[in-house]
Amino acid sequence: MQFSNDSLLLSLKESLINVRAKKSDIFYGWKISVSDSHSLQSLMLGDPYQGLASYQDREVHDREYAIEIFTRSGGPMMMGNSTYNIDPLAPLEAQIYKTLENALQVSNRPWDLPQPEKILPRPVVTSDPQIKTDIKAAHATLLEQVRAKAKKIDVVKLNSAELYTNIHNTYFETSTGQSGEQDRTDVYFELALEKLPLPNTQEVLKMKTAISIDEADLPAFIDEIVEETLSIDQANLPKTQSHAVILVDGKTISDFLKNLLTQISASHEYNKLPFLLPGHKTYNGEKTADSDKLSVTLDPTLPVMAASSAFTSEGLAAKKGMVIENDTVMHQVVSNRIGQYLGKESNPMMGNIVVPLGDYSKEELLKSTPECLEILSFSSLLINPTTLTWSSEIKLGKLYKKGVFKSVIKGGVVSGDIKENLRNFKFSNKEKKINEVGNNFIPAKGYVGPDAMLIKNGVKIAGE
Amino acid sequence: MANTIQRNRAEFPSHLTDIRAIMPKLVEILESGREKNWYCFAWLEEVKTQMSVCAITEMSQESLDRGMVLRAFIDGVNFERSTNRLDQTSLMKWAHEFRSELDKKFDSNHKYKQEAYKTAPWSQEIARGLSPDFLEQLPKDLNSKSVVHFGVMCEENPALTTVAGLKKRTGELRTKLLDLSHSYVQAKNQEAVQDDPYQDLVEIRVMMRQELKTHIFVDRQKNMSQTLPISLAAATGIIKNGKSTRGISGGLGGLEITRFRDEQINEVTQNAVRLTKAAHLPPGRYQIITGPDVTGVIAHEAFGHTQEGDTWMKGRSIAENLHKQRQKVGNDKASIVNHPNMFTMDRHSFGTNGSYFFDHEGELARLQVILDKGMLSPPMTDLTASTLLRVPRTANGKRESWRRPLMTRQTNTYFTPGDSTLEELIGMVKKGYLARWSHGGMEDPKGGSLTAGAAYFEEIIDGRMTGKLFLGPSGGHVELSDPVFSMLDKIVAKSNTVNDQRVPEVKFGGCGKYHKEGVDAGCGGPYILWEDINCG
Repeated sequence: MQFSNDSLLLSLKESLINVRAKKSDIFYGWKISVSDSHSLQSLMLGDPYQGLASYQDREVHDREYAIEIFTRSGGPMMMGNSTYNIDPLAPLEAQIYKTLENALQVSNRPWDLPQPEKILPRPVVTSDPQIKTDIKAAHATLLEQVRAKAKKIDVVKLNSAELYTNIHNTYFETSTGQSGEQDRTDVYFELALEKLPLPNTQEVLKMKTAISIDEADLPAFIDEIVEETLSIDQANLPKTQSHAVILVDGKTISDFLKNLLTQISASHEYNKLPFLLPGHKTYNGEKTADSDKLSVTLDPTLPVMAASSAFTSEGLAAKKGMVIENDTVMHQVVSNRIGQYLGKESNPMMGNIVVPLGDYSKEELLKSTPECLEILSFSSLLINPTTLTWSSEIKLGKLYKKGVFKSVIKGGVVSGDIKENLRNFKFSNKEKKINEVGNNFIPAKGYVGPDAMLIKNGVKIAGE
Repeated sequence: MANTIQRNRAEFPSHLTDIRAIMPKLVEILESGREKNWYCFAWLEEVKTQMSVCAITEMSQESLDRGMVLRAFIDGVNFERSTNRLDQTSLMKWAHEFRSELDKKFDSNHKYKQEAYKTAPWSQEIARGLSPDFLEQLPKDLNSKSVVHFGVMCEENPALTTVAGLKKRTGELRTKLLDLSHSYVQAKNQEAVQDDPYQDLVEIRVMMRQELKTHIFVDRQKNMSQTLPISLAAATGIIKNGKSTRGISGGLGGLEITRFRDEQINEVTQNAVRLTKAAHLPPGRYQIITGPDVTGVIAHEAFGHTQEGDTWMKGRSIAENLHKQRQKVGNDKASIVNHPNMFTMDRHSFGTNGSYFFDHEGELARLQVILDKGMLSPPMTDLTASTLLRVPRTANGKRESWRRPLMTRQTNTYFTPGDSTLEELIGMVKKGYLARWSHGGMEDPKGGSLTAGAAYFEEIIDGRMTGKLFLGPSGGHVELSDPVFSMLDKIVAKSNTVNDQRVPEVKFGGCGKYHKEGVDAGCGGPYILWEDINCG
């Protein structure tokens, strides 16, 4: 997608420059963001003849223009900023003046906007060429993979599926001369199925998000879910326990770490929320001697990963770095703005969460404890990023005694505290790669690390 | 609910008049000559959002999101195209391209399995019954070409809201809350000398937002619009260790409905402070009273999601078989209502953000009982689910935005009220807890279990509130979780309402379907005393 010749973008930029010249006493700076998205969406029902049959077929074209205006005014000088989604059918200058007025309503401490860097950020591969070249062909390929696989499945009942193939192109430009453009692609697939014979009351619903068709590997993903569905048996409630041992999957590890990592952001320090500084430990209390240690690198350069990016949200070059090493915080992530507020140097580390593998297989981890509950799925895992406590109903789990499967578990509530959990844990030695595409509310998450984590501390279960 | 202040209905935004005029032409392009087997409509949504946040870091935001969906419903399948390129030339070209695609897919020799869906004309809608909120807004001599607009009653005209106005209110509210909280801490510390005195909150973050939603729906029988102002004030009190409490006020109406009452003020200024000394709840089963907020989440997750027609249609709900088998799934006090056209509730003269006049497929909103004294009714539906399941259509077809697919979604879901007072319910508890404020929830329509979160518990011993607060076993929120049937069989008593239509308190809320597709949805009900619930 080429934005440089977009007529609305050019008019918008010209209007911003004009208004800024007229209001130079208060109009400090601006940023324009443009995004262009194309989405193909197929919603399917289980069908006895076709395996899965479409009941919704959608195509969406979306182009958005947004501006952010920065003001400096008053004595003592305060800085304001406000964002505005541009209505292409309404006069541009009036919308700019309105945004300017909105920005003047905001009174924050002044900060200097970032300037263009001497060395341009290195491009990062954030899209699948196959989807980028021809999204319709790519979606048809994925749909065919799913249908062909579904047609052959007779050991479980397929209830429904959803498939979305998306391209998002984004461009930004600022009054200080920064600019950048990125293409992103993604595939979202979900499948709901249940074991035969019917009726039963246990359904498996799994989602997969990927950046490329190859990474999605939908036929293999479907095989994996079918296998899991077949392994489900009559379920029991878990026992009530104050010191439970559980095994969680790569997705849960990534969710725990994503929340933990919010506390190394300097914005938490400025906004008086709990925060971690270099030298702080990632656990509470005394570490168990034979526990694994946590190390985390943020890497924005990994190709075709959800959290890869050449730029930070402030338009600076995104930087790779080891933020936690052997349970100790090594760096605080500091934005340009917050760095100026706190008198700290900017440290634009961001990216995919990369965690070294452990020493044991998942099976060995399960064997290593007298009793362990493997959580296959949470109903809704809620993690509080400020307290780092978490809880959920258990949607599906498996109880093991010394590594031997005993029963399927469903129901009850499991809860914990990440800093307590990190006192005594072990990672598996098998790698899992996870990509979760971000949206307006949730940042993207990429994870490369262990596919399982045995947690031996700080977990409680309310059950029988 | 008597209200002497002048209120007016939100008007149709004049800047949408030109786009509205094109919409019948787009529908005609799509279905012309194919009316026997194709049913088409055009849907436009515009959401104007203004927001102001007062906190250590302030912010403001204004946005206008507008997009259109063209739908062709053919042989039980929805074909949709969506765009936000809305100039007349682009729209006409887009509609012709879509028509051409459909013509290729369904050539003149195509053997249709079914005839086109027949949408009801206004005369049938009126004969079927519409509430006064609709009837008083319908023009005379209604026909398929009549332009109809529905607006919500407001004291403060939402079209006049500005970010500057929001900033003024957020700033004043934050200052007031910080002062009140500081006074509370001082008073508590003066009451008794404490080894571990109460500390001031580290932050109170106040957000005020108004969304002005306008929808236009055009098909072969109707050309109607609705303007829905959704106003919200939210304040979060935060203590040093990151624990927080939140008060919110808002719903469907002008900014007048965002005024904080004592319960929200106390939640932010006092209870956040009190949480510093909260104990941790041992996991187990307890006698519980849920407040409207938590009661609503239980209604929403129990037989709300389970009664969504598309979930039935996919074979993913336990409710379909239970309905067919006439199996009782709760005791006689277990009644849940789906109420999209809810414009008053309990003591308030406004509805919630889950209310509207018609859904996103143009179905007019009417009240529906989805669980009647423990017996399941037919489900809530969208057009596809209603067609495939051969059950009545209801106004529950909703989408997150024009960018996303439409599904069967909840509007306002609530337990019907009872005849006790809250004090009487508390008096019936030997040892248990009051769960007043919700903290998320999740459905399991196939498995028939549910989980509803409570921010914290308030202890009740021997029929009296002890003043002690309890967090979850690990120091976070508390999860209430049980199989739905056993839970709904354990309703002991419910509180009353002062509302003359017997609508209890319904809370401002949002809902995801499984893990995505966020939509506005109110949920609520009376205070309910439950025999016991598993808590962890």
